[in-house]
Amino acid sequence: MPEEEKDYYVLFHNHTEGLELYQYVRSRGISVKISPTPRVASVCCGMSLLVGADAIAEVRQCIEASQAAYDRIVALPRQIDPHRDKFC
Amino acid sequence: MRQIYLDNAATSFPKAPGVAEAMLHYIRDIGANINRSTYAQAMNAASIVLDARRRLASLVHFPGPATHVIFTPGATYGLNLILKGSLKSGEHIIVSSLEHNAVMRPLAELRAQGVAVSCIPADAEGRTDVQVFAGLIQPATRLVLVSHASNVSGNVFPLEEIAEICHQRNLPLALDASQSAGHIPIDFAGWNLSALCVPGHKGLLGPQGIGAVLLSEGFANRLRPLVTGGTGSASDSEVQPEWLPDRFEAGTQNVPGIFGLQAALVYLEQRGVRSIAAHEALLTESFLAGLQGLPLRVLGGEAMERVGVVSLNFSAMDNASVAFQLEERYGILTRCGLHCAPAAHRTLGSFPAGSVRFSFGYANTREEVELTLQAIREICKQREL
Repeated sequence: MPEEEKDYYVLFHNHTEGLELYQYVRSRGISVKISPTPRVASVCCGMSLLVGADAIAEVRQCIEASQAAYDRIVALPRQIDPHRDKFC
Repeated sequence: MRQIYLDNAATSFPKAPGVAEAMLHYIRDIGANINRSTYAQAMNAASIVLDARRRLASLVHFPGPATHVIFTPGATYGLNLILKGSLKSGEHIIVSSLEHNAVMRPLAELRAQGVAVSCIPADAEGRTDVQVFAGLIQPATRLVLVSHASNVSGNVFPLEEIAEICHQRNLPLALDASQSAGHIPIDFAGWNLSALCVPGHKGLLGPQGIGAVLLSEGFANRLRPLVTGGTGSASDSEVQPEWLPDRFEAGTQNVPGIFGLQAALVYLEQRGVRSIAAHEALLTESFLAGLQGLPLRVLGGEAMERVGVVSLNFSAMDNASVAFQLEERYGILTRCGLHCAPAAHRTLGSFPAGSVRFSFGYANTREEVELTLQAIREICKQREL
């Protein structure tokens, strides 16, 4: 799967862990979004951070620097066509 | 009639500025649950909850992660969690002689299940005999739990000496800060605590129905939850998650209460606990000085370190009659009785008569102390006539 067709999801045990990393990442100007955890990634109904392929390396650095608690990172095919509705 | 609220040991009043507004904001404008969905309102609520965990950790110098700040319905719940979640038959616990029933009643249950309990002796002035403490430690001792400040006499427990011994003997030390949190500084890291229980509605100036337990990693690992259930995490499993805070936060949390507590913590940071401690100490010293020569007994002695809690025993009068007159004639609100602490009153020699408790808070003034002293003088004088 080409890198540009992937999205990364950082999975957590709970919202507290997720929100801590989200705030840390955002405070460094890195664009990530809070998302429900994709069912294909985990049957747990928690939150995840949706990270584009262009930002995943920086997010990994943030995890390392902050020693953030998390479950794992999964790569999934991009579900939403980024060009969708562009010319509608 | 003007009212003078001197029952801050029961619950603080008024609450910190911003508490009511924060709770109303949540109820009226947000409403979303936390730890479940990820839409913006839910995450906005979650960010306030996380902020409250961080602020509380900072206030008490807790070195652990925010996940180890566990919200509870109050200090009583937290103390039950610590006691019932860590002790089992054949094990032993050491507590102080001035404990509240929030500790003594769970211990009565645990005693019936085979847990042994020792109390660190204290004299009738409330002075704890620290030298005896080390001799109470047994091979089966699993926990030391003490009240930081007595809810009856206000006496501050000699924590540093006990903490040092616990550290040397590798014994977990848990602190009930029901009467100290928000009133005087707390140093979780410096005292090497394993657990700290706080109510949100007393010195922390938040609403009722919210409190917290802060847990060290090692102690948390051996603690069993009191209540299990949904956490919004690991929903595929019917077993309680191991990670924190989920392991100890089953069910929907008291989010309005946490919003109120968060606002109170913001205020406490701005005002400063040391500043509040100095203010309340000044009021307490003035009050104690003004009682000199009156026909009454100050429980716990007058010279000892204390928070803003002073219990008086009016030996020539029924304490209930004094409390009634204080309210009826002067609008002064106190708490009369045994204060849910029969063990403390026995230690202080005031069982079963109890006492009239005056407890000062951040909002009380020197003028209110003077008016209270004047009222007490008049009541005592009336008795002499």
